[in-house]
Amino acid sequence: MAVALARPRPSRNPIVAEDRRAGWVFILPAMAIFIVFVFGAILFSFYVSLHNYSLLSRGGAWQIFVHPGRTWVGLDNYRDILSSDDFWLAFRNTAWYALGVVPAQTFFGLVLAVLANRKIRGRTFFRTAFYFPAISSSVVISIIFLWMYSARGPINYVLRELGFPTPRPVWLANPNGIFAMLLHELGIEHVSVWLEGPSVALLSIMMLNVWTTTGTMMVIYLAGLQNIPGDVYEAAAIDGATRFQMFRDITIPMLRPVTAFVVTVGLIGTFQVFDQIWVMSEGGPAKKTTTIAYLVYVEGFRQGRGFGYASAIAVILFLIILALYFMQRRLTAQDYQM
Amino acid sequence: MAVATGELARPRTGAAARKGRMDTALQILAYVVLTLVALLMFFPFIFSVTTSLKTQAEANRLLSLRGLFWPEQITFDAYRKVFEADIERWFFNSAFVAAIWIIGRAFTATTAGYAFARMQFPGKNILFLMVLSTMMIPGMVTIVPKFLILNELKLINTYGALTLPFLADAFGIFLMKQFFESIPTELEEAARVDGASRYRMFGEIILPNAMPGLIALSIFSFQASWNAFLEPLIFISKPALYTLPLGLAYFRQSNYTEWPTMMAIAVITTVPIAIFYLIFQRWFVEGQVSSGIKG
Amino acid sequence: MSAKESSGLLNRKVSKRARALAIPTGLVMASVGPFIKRTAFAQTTVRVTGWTSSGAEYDLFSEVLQDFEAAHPDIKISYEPVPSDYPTKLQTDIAAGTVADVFYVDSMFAPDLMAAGQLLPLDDFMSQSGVSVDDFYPGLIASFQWQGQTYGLPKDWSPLGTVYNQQSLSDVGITAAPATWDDLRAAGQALLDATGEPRIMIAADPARYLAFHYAAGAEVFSADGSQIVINSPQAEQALEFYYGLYRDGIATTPADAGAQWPGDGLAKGLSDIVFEGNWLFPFLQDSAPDLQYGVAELPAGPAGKVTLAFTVSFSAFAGTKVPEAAWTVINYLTGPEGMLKWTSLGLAMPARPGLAEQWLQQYPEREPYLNSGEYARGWQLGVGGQAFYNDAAAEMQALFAGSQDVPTTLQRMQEAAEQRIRLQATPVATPTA
Repeated sequence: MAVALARPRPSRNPIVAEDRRAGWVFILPAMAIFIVFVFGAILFSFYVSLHNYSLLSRGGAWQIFVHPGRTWVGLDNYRDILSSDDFWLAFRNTAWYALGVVPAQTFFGLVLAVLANRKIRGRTFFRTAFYFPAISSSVVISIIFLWMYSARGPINYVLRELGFPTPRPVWLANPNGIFAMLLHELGIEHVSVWLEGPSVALLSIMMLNVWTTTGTMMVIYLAGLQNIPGDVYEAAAIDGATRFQMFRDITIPMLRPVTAFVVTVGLIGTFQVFDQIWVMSEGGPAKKTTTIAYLVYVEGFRQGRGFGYASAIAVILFLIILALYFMQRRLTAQDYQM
Repeated sequence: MAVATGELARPRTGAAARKGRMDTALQILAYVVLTLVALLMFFPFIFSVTTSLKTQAEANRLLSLRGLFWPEQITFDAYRKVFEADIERWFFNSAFVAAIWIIGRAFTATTAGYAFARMQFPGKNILFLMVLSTMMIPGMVTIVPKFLILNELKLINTYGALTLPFLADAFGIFLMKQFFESIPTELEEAARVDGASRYRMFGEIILPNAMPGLIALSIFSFQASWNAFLEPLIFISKPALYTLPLGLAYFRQSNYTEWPTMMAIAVITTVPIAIFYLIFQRWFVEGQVSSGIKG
Repeated sequence: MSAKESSGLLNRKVSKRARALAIPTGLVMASVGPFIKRTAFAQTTVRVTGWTSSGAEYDLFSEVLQDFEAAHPDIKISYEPVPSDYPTKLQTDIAAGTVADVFYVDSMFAPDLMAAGQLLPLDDFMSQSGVSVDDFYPGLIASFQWQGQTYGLPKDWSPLGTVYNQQSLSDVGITAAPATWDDLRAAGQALLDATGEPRIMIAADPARYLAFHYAAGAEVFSADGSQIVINSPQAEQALEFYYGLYRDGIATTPADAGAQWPGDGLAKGLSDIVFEGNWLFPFLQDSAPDLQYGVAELPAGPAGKVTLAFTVSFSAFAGTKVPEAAWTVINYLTGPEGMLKWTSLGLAMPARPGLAEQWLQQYPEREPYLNSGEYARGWQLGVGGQAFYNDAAAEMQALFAGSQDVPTTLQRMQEAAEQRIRLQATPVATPTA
C-alpha cells in the first residue's frame, strides 16, 4: 500500500534547516499517541506473550517488568497454542472466512461497478444505496440479521415458501461444515477437519459480511473504472473487439492495482471481524464461529487462559497478516509502479 | 461514456446495429440487476421498520408475505420500551466521544500530514512507512497492551479510555498528507520570501485552506467512533459510560427474542446516521474512493 | 488479620475520620442548624453490583437496599447493576481496581476468584457479628469457602425442577409429572404423537445436562478428587438419553423453536415440559400470566434423584477501602431480614434453612424445589470450572448439531476438563442439604 508514495523527493527547500526541527514538532502530537498505543503496544504485546499474567492476577502490569521472574514462562504460551485444537479450529474458521468473503465481495463489487458505470439514470441513487450498509453500525446490522436468520425470520420464511425445509439446527445455531454436509449427502463420512468447510453458522456471518462490504468495493472499483481513459476502448472498438473482449483485455488488466487494493482491504477486514461474531454467535455454536481475533478476546478477557496466552495468539495473528502482506506484494509487485 | 459516443459517430453497419441491440439488452440487464441488488440492500432495513411496529404476539407468529411489509396492528410499544432503557445517555456518550475524536484527529492529522507532505526531516520516510503499515494491523492485536496501559493510567472506565488511544490514526494522517500535496506550493513560497516560519505558514496559509480535507477527515473520524465496538466493550463496564453500539449490544443480550424492541432500537440508531449520510453522501463516498485509488 | 486487630483498625479509622470531620461538621451544624441533621453524619458509601434480569428484580433489590440504608444511616449504598456479560465485566473491574465493594459471585466462578486472592475473607467479621457458618445450608456456603476461609455468604439458591403445561399434559392423558426417565420419554412421545411436534424443550447446556449425568451415576471427579472421570459408561447412558430425546424428535431446542431459552419456550407455547429453576416463575408471571403450570422434581435416573443447586454469594473485594461497611452490607443482605425480603420475589429460595418454612408459605406450589435440597449437587467444579463449562457447552452444541457422536463428545469433555480444571485445588462437589 502506498509504498511508492514514500519515495524521498530531492529537496530544493531553502528552509530545510528549520524543517529538520519543525518537522518533528509537527509530528509530535500524532507520534506521542502512536508510540504509546501502537508501536509501544505491539512491543508490549510480544513481551506479555512470554508471561503468565491475567485479569485476575494481583498487582498492576508494571510488575511483569519489575519482577519478570514471577510470571515468566518463555515460549510456553506459543507451544500451548500451536498444539491446541482451539487455535487450529480458529485458524480454519478465519481461513474459510477470508477465502469465502474476499473473492465474493471483490467479484460482486466489480460486477456492480461495471453495471453502474454505464450511462444510466439514477447512478447516484444506486451508489448511495449500495454503500449504505457499509456506513451503518455493525452492531445494528448484526441485530437485524440475527432476526433475519432466526427460526421464524424472513430467510426461513422465503425458504419455506420455496418448498425447502427449514434447516435444523437453524442458521446461526448450526455448527456443521457445509462441505461435510454435501459429502454426507453423497454418502461420504468422516472427512478431514480441514475439508469440512465453513460451518453453516459461519457462512451466515460471511453472507452478512459480503452484504455489508460489497458496496464499499463497488465504490472503489467505480472510481478505478472512471480512471481508465476512454480512448483505449475506442481504439479497441475500431479494431472490432467485442464487449467481452474489451472487458477481459482492457478493463480487468487496467483495474489490477485497484483489485490488489480491494483484496488487501478485504483481507484486513476479514481478519478483524469481531462485532458481528460477538453480537450474533459469541463464537459458537461449538466454537465454529470463533476466529483467531475472537479467540484473543475469549482467552484474554473472558474466563480464559489470560493476557499472556491471548497476547501470544495476537502475535501469531500479526505474523500471519505480515506473511500474507508480503505474499500479496510479491504476487502483484508490478502494480505498485503506478 | 466515451465508448458510446465513439460508436454513435460511426455509420450504422449491420454489426453496429447488432451492437446497438446488444447495448439495449445490456442496459436493461443493468437496470434489473442494480434494482434487485438495491432492494436486497434495503429489505433488511424495511423489514426492521415493519417488525418494530408489530406487537410482540404478532412477531412471535410465523411470518406471512403481508406481515413482512405491514403489521396487522401498528403499535409503538417497542419504541416506548426502548426509551425506558438509557438510550439518551448512550447517544450522548457516543456524540461526546465522536466530538473528541474529530477534534483530536483533526489536530494530529493536519500537523503530521503537513509535515509528511512538505517538510524534510531525519527519519521522515521510515516513520511514515511505519505509520502507514499500522493500517494493516487488526485492533485485536494490540487490545491487551492497550488495556494494560490504560489500566496503569487509571483510565479504564472513563471517557479517557474511549478517546485517548484514538486521537491519532494512520488513515487520517495519510488522508491529510494526500490533501496537502494537492495544494499548490506557490502560496507557501510567497510567504517564505516574506520570511514566515513553518508555524506561521501552517497557521495562516495551510489551515484556512484545509477545509475540504478536514471535512473528509471529520466524517471518517465520526464514522469510526460512532461504530467503534471492540474497545468500548473491553474498556468500559459502567452503564453510565456505554456508547450506542455497546448499549445496543448489551440490550440485545437481555432482550434476545423481543424482536419488535430490538428492531425499534435498530431503527432509532440508524435514522440519524442515515440522514447524516444522505447530506454528506458525496464526502463519504469520495473519501472512500480517494483512499482506494491512492492507497 | 485477627478479629482483635481488625476491630482496632476500625476504631482508629473512625476516630481519624471523626477528627477530620469535627471542624467542618461543627460549622455546618452551627449555621444551618437542625435542618440537615441526617446528612451531617459521616456517611460511608458502599458500592454494590450484581446482574439483574428484570425490572421487578431491580426494583425489589433496590427496596431491600433502601431498608438497609434506613437501618444504617451511616452507610450509603450505591447500587450499580451490570445489565449483561457480568463475569467479563467483573473481571475487568477487578483488574482495574474499580470493582464495587460488594458484588455477586456465582458458585461456578467463585473458586477462580478465591484462588486469585481477589475476595475478602469474612471469617473474622462473621465471628465478630455472631454469624455462624451453620446458619446456612452447608452445601451452599461450602461453595464460597477456600482453604479454610469463607469468602462469601450465599444470598439465595435454586435447584432445577420439572415445570410443565398442565393442560397439554392432561390433554394426552398424563396427570402426574414424569417421575423417571422412562416416564419422561413416554410423556414426550405421547405429546409428539398428539401434536406432531416435539414438546419437551432442552438446551445443549451442561448446566442442565449435568443433572442427568449425576442421575445416571456418572461423576466429574473421582471420589478423592484426584482425577477427572467425566467419560464413563454411566455418562454415556446419561448423554445418550438426554441427547436421544432431541435426536429422536421428542425434544426440541430453543434455537430450533425460536425461543431464547426453554422457559421462554414454555411461556410462548412452543413447549410443554422444561427443566428450570425458581427464576422461571417471575418470568412466567410476566410473559404468560394465564399459563397453568405444574411443578415437580426432576425425573429420577438409573442412580436415583439428582438435581443441580445453583447459588450466588455476596462477597467483598479484597481491595475494598471500606471492609467494615462492606461486611455490614453483606451481613444485612444475607441476614434473616434482608434474605427473606429478597427471596419473597420468588426468583430463588433462602439460603438459610431457618427461613425455608416462611418462604414456603408464600410459594406452597414450589415444595418440590425445596424437597430436592436433600439430593442436590453443588454447581461448582473448582478453579477453571467456568472455563470448562464454556468448552463443555461447545461440545454439547456439536453433539446436538450431529457433528459428533456421544462417545466423542464425552471424550472431548473429559479432555477439556483435564486442560481447564486445576485439579489439586478442587473441592469435591458436595450435597446441598
